[in-house]
Amino acid sequence: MDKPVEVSAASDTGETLRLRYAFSLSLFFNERIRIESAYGGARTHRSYVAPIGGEVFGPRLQGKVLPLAGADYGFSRGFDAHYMLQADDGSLIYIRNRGLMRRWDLDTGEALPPTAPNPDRPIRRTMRVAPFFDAPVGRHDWMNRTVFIGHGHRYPDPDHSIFTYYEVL
Amino acid sequence: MTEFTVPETPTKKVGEVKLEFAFRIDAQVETQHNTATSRGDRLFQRIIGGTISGPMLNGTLHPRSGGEFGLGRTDGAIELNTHFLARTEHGEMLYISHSGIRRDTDGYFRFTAYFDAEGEGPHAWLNDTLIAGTGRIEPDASKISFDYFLVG
Repeated sequence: MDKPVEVSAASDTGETLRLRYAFSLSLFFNERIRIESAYGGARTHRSYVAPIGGEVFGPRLQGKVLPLAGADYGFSRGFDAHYMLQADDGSLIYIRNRGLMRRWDLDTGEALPPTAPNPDRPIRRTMRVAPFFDAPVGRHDWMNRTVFIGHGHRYPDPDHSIFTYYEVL
Repeated sequence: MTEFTVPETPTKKVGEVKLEFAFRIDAQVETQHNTATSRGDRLFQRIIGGTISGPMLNGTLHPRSGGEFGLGRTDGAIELNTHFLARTEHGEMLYISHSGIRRDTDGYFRFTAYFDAEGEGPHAWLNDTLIAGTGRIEPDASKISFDYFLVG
């Protein structure tokens, strides 16, 4: 077993917060639908991106993402996704993946406004998420009583995202 | 039904995050009231006032602007659901909301926080930053301290 991946920080009064890597999701997509100017102006949108499948891997959960059992219903400021996972023991686990996305210009490294429309050229996107899970009573129900945060990255060819989840200890 | 071929995951690299202390809120709270509902106990604890202090944000809580509206579930966890307003040292109003989990069994009290700040103001960074935190309730239950950490 590899050493656990942990991150921690302390406040000025010595309160500490620790994160420990729990598991990851890969999500593969083949369609992105955008509703432009969805709510309140030219720079707003609502999008729909549904996974055709993916893997769950890591120390605390292994399994797969059920195909077309949910989607990311993203919007200008961030995203709000619902997916159904299936653990290796057959348990179905619901994830609500709420998060924020920052957009960066690849050439200049500058931050682009959260409501900027998609440029034609590629940009870098970094995602941070605060998910929650509904797991059945049993070996996965610790997920119902734990706060998680996550890191997300989007990759082209094939179109997929990988989310890395940490338990907030 | 359409069958899809799902590719192999090309890389299983662990996405790295950074954690940095941002600020602390010391909130004075009133006595907690519980309402027994069919979904569990809905808690209400008003935040009377308080202060924000730390390297990234300083200010005061807008008096009586909200509180903790958690749901005590039958599995022993309390779903945190906190809403209040704050005024920064620059006079700007912020909306702050927490969601998270509290467990009375072992004192676990962790949350993620969501902010609405003016889009063009000095605190606009709060609008697209993930913040995680830890809470502590004073033994006499008159004060809750929240420590906020930026997840970079």
